[in-house]
Amino acid sequence: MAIAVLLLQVLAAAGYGAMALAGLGLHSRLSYGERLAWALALGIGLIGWAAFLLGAAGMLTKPATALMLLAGVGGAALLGRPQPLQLLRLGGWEWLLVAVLAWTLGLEVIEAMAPPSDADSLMYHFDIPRRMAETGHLPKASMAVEGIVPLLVQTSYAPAFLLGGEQAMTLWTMASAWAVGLVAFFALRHHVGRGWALAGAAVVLTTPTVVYGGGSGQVETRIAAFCLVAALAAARSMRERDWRMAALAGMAAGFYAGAKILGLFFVAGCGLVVLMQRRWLAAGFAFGIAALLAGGQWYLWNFLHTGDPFFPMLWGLVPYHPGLWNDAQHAAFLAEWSGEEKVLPQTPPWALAYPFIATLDGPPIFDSGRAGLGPYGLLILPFALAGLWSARRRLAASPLLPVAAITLAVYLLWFHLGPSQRVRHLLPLWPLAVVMLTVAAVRCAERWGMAGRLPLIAVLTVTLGLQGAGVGAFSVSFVKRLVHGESREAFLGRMVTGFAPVPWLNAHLGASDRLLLNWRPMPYFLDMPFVFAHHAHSAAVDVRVGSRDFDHYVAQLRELGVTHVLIQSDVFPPDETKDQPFEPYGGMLVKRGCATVVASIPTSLVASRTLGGGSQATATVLALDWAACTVGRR
Amino acid sequence: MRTPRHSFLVTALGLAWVAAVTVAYLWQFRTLAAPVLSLLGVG
Repeated sequence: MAIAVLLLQVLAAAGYGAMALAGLGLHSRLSYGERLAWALALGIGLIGWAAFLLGAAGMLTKPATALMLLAGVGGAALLGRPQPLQLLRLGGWEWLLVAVLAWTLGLEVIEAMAPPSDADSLMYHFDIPRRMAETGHLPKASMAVEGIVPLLVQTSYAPAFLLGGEQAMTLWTMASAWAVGLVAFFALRHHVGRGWALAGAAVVLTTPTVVYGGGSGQVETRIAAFCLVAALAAARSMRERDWRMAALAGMAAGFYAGAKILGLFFVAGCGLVVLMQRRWLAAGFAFGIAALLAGGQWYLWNFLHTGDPFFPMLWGLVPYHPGLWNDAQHAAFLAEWSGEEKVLPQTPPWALAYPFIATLDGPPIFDSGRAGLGPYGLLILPFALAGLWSARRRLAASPLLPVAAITLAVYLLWFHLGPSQRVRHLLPLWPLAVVMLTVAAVRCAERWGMAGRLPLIAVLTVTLGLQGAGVGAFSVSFVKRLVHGESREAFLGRMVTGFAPVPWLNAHLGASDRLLLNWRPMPYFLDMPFVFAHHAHSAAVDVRVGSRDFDHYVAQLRELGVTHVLIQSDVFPPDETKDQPFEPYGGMLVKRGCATVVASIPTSLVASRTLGGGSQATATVLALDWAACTVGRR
Repeated sequence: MRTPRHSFLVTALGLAWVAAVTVAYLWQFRTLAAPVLSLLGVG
C-alpha cells in the first residue's frame, strides 16, 4: 500500500508540475529531462499548496486527498514522450558514478523503510502531518520555531501519511529529496558533458547534510530543488526576456518562503536579480504575484491565528491574540537566537571566512561535522577560480551570472540577518554552488586538457569516496535493523534518545489525559493529547531559563488541564538548583503534594544514531492530583 | 605558451592542493576514528 501511495504521489507531483509548466506555456521550452525534473520539484510545492487548501477548509480526509492526488496524475501526460535511456552508452567512469548513485539511493531506500528516528522530525516535521491526517485540519501556530508556520513542505507529507501511513510518508521524503539531484543533473547538462553532470548530481546527493536531512522530515533538501528551479528560471527570464520564466521563478521562490521564513531572503535576492532586466516591470510583477500566491497563504494563516504574519518576529509592533506570547517570553526567545546560534560576528569579513571555517573545523553549533556540506567546495575552488579567470571576457554574457548573483545575494542576507549559522540552513543554496563551481572548474580542465582533468578527477574521487563512505556509515544502523529483523520498538529504543517511556505512556494514558513534556524526539509517537513546554519557544507553560515562579507554573498546568508530567533526568527528584526549571518543577510537584510518581522507567540517552554511545537516565511519569494540590489556586 | 612543463606543474599543484585539503578536512574528524572503527567491527 505504501508503495502504491508513493507512486501515486510522485505521479501527482510530476503531473501538477507539468500542468504549471504547460499553463505558463513553457513546457516546450525545456528538454524532456529538464521538464520532468522541474515538474517534480514544482509538484512537491504544489501538493503542499493543495494540502494547505484542504487543511484550511478542514477537508484533509482520505477521499478528498486521494481525489486531489488523482487530479494531478493526469497532468503527467503533459510531460510528453520520454526520450529513450542511453545507459548502455555510458563510459567507464560514468558507470562508476552511476554505482555511487546506486549505492547512495539504495541505502536511502533502506533508511526510508525504517521508522523515523531524527529528533527534529519526531518533534514537528513528522508530527505536524500526523496531526493533520488525524484531524483533517491545518495546525495553528502556538509555538515559535517548531510550531511556526510556514509549513508547505510538511503539508506535502500529510497526503502520503493519510493514505499510506508512516511508511508512505518516509518513502515520500526519500523520493522528494532526490528531485534536487535530478534538477542539478539537467542544469549541469546545459553546460558540461554527461559525465561531469552525473558527477555534480552525485556530489549533491551524497553531501552529508543531504544524506542526514533528505530521508528525514527536514525540509531543506526539498527546498533546495525549489531554489535551483527558481534561480535557473530567473536566469532564463533575463536571457530570454520572458515574464513567464519570471513567474515560474516566483512560484518556486514562493514555495521556499511557504516552507521556511528564511525563504523570504531568497524571494528578496531572487526578486532583486529578476528586476535587473530591460522589461523589469512585467518580470517583477509576474515574479512577485507568483511568489505571493505560492507562499503568501501561510503568512495570512499565521496572521489570522496569532495576529503576527511572522510570529513571533513582530512582537511589540502588531497586536497579538491574547495569551499567546509575552514580553518575558520574547526576551527569552531573542536571547536563545542571538547568542549560541550565531558565534561568528555578522560582518562582511566573517561572511567571507564562514565557508572555510564551516568546511574545515566549524564550532559545534554549525553542525558542520555531522551535517555539513562536505569538502567539495574547498577542493574545487582553485580550479573554479582558474576557470573563471580563463573565461573572464565572456562572464558578463554567462547564463550562470544571474544564478551567481542570486546565490551571493541570498547568502549575504542569510549571513548578516539570519537567525542561525547552522550549515544545513545553507543547504538550499548548495546545489546552486555545486552547479556553478563544477561548470567553472570544467572550463579550466578543458583548457588544460589531461593536465587539468587529472586534479579534477582527484577532487571527485576524494569527494565521492569520503561522502560515499559517510553514506555507508550513516546507513549501518538502518541496515542492521533489516538484517536482524529488529522490531519497531527495539529499533526505536536503540535510535531515539529517551524513547523507553513511549510504550508505557501510550498504554496507560488516553484521550481524557493531557501530558506535559519537554522531550523533543517524542511528540510524533504520542497517542494522547499533550502540551510541549519549551524554555524559549512557547509561552504556554513558563519554563524560561532562570525562571522560578512555581505557583505560576502550577496555575498554568491547572488551566491547561494537564494530568501527567514526564521528566527525563539522571535521578528523580532532579537537582533543584538547575537553571532550566522544567525538571526541578517536577520534583517540587511531588514535594508539594500536587503529584505522585506513577512510573519510573530506565531509558537510554543516545549520543549518536550512527556512532552510538550515550548514557542511562530515568523517565519519571507524574500523575497530578488537582484535588489535593493547593499551589497556584486563584 | 603551454609546454609539457606547464602541464606537469598544473597537475602537480592541483594534486597537492587536493591532498592538502583532504588532510585538513579529515583532521576535524580525528576524534571519530575510534567510534568509526568500532562501528565497522574493527578495534
